Amino acid sequence: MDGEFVCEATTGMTKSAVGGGNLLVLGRSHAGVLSACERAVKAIGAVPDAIAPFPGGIVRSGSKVGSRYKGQIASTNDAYCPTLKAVVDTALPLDVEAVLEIVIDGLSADAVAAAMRAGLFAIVEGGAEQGITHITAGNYGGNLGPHHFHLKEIIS
Amino acid sequence: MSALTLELARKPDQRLDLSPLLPRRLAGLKPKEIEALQIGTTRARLVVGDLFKLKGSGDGGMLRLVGTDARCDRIGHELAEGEIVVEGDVGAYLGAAMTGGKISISGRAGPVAGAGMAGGTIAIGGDSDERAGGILVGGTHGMRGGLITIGGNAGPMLGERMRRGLIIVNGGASDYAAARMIAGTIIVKGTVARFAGYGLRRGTLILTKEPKDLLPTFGDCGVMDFNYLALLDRQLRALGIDAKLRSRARRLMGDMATLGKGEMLILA
Repeated sequence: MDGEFVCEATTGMTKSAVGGGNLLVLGRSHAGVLSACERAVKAIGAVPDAIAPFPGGIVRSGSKVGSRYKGQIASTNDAYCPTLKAVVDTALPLDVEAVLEIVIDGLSADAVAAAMRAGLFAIVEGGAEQGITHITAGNYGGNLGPHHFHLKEIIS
Repeated sequence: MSALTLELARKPDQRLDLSPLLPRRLAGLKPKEIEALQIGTTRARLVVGDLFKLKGSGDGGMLRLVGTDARCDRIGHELAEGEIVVEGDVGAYLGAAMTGGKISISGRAGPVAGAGMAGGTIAIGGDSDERAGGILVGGTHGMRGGLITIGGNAGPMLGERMRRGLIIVNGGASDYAAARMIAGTIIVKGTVARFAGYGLRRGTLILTKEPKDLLPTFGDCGVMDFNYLALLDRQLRALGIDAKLRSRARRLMGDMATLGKGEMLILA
């Protein structure tokens, strides 16, 4: 039908890039968390050598490392699911009703760290008034990869 | 075309089994043949003609029962198509095991209305007695599909072992609403009494008012917005039902004493 299919014939590849930097934004309303994440994605877009690869830069159905299902390496990050607080080992307080994730890939660990820093400060701009209660990141017991980005070091 | 109308001429002196009175079955019968159908439940022989006055023809697929009371059992039993309109109260097993068609009654329904039904619609104008949408005697599952609306209050064990389908109660529900429910959806607009969701495995119990007594085996997930409720409200509006479901609700999961994958949504 209408339109054209366009893609790169060849793509470059690097083995030194870093994937999977992330920010988890927790808040009291979905609208507030979404607005904060949109601000963060915009800020990350200005950081060189880093991208937020998901559509709109925001992940609603985030996954964790590991799965209870055979043949699946990652499944729902149940500890951060607001609707499952009562039945899983939750990481959420009862008043948190929305959680969104921003995933960041970069050409280097420094680029990922810079993007996370830009995202963090953009989220904080709205502050608690917007209903944001926590900003955290998924570490998954250190199993995500060799690079660890500690938020307290990133903002210092 | 006028519907076939059966008007109860006098109060029955025994319980009646009205399961032979299905629109499709009556459509091919002459009035004399309809009057000869047995509806008694004791050793005293009783036929339709002994109690009911017949009017009209059943060719339109619609049957009207007028002046019925709580002794008229098994109306619409195993109904597959057509419509039964009842002006009065009904006894036990209204629409039990039905698979299609529509039943509406203006009065009160007796025990186990819609038990084991798999499809179709039952609209009860008044209250319903115990175990609406529940299990038929000898069965293992309750309602498996279809829609029951109850204009008044529902009795105990509403939707017991229900597996699929939707029950909407405009009034309140007595003890053990959604007991041992396997799946499906129950909406109660009024208050629910004790032990709501007892043994709930899966399925959704939607309440507009917080129960006085919540089972301790339900876990609180907090208050949040549910797109599902807005979709359900839209679907109900398409069916002509104004359930006034708001999308914000408190979610409780349970019953943790069993599978625990069910949910109780209390509208905020």
